[in-house]
Amino acid sequence: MKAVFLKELRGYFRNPIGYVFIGMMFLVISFYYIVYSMYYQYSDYYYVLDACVGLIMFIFPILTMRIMSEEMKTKTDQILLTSPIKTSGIVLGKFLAAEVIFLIVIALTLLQPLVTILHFKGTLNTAFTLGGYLAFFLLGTSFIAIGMFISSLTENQLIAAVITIVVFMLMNLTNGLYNVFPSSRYFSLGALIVALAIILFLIYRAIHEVIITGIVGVAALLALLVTFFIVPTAFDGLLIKIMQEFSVFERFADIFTGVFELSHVIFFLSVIVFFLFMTYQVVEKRRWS
Amino acid sequence: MIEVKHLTKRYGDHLALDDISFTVEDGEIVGFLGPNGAGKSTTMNIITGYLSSTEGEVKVGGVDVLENPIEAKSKIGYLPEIPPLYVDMTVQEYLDFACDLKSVPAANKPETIEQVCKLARIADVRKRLIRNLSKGYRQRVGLAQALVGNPEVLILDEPTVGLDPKQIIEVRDLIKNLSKKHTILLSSHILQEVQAVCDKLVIINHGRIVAIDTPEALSRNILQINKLELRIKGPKNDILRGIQDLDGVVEAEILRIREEGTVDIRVETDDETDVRGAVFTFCAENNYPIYMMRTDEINLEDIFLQVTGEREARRR
Repeated sequence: MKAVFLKELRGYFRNPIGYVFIGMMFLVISFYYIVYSMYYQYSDYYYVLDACVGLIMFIFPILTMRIMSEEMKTKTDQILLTSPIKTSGIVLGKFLAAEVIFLIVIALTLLQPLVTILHFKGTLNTAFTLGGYLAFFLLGTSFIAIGMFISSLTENQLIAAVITIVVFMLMNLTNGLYNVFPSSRYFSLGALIVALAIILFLIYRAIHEVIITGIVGVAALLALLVTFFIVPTAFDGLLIKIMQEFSVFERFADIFTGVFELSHVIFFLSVIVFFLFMTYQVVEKRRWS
Repeated sequence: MIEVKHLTKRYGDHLALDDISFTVEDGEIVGFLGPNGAGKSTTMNIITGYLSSTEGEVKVGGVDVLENPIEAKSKIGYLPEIPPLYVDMTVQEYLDFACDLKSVPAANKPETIEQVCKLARIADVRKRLIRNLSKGYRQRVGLAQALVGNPEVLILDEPTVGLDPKQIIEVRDLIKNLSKKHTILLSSHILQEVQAVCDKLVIINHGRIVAIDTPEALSRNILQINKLELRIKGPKNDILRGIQDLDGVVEAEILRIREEGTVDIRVETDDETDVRGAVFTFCAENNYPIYMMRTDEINLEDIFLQVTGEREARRR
């Protein structure tokens, strides 16, 4: 893992990617800092961290698009996968290297609240700022994990970048979409059936077994319908509830409104671990295809 | 050292490898021969653990690649078809990384890198970016990478592709040299290349093994004594007519005239006849000096056709 980690980390500074990412992130955050802290004189630095997320999610693909796909394209993954190291070590090494680049950005921004306190003799809500930083760190790390997973799906960096941006945008949009979706139980049922169809398609793609896929599909559909007829009230607004449960941005916003719970941290950690695991699975599965 | 048993690989409906079995003994150089797309790279990728087989097993040094991949991989140095080079690194950085991947202790790194650079003859480009190296140098950097850690087994996928003739000879000598300490499996689609260095040839076509034998045995089987090229001094029409009249000659034709007063003739006989003695007798009797006589070069296509028994079919 250490070998891959060091190679990746050095790689970010061997080509412009690392500099571009750090530079652009710092530029955007600084812009919000100037507007919020200097112009409007808000004393709470976490406003800056909260506000810039809408823009910086477009910068993360620069960092993540190439993580897995570049090596598939240049076939250099052959030296990694035929070396006596574990696949999990490859995935973790790459992830941690990207993480370090992100931490460099965070370290650079630490200057800004310090300037607020020391130079402008301002006051800072320490607890909120620290909480804000933690949330910012967790959200960014989730972005890296998700982006890395998408990068492992294609050997075309551009496609990886575009898909990542679309996914981040959808994740962000769902925050505002709650009110758009009808909360009727029939709509929830329909959406769940569509989701089931997508999952079944993915299962079929993975195992190429019509019978097993069919059995799983019929069983899941029956379970869904039986539940629907026994406790129809459970389906009222279910879709919106599910979307809220899984919304990364919702959790992020929660932390900023002062609602700080351990469950939020655990939620982010689960997202990160889940996508790292999925990346590992994709790399392993590719050998079997 | 390498045991491949009943290897099958399916890509969807396409059968890339069909029940491949062979072994490579300790210290042997085995040539893996076949046209492009025959399944050479797929087999090598499975042995090195880059791909998984659909069925069958592979053991390297007694260790199953699937069950104990880390241990098996630590015994193998692999040069894939496209050398896996990071073009934005220098050769030195790249080999340093290869040492890390193969867990070479930090103290031994300078020595290891020195050694592989010397073997692969890339010491003069160590400070240069791989991006700026020529194809021949890149290939040799890839080879140096495979040698890092002194693995027992070397697997080289078309190691001489893209090299100029001088480099090909160098690499061939290098491989011969390496075979003293390593077990080597190398692939090629050029017969002459593997013939010169290998103890054993595995010929593969359409994902199936068509022959496993020593190069000598294989070329004895397919020595093409029924196709001759002659250069004889004398009146061309008399010579041509005389040769056409020899027993077993199916076809004889004038190819060209290269030297003054001589004629180049191509002769084809039926499979059972060796006409060379008769040609000599004929020329000696008529006092036509033979300037040249040679059999057709054996090429891979002929071997395939021979071992797959398709040649007769093609002729008809």
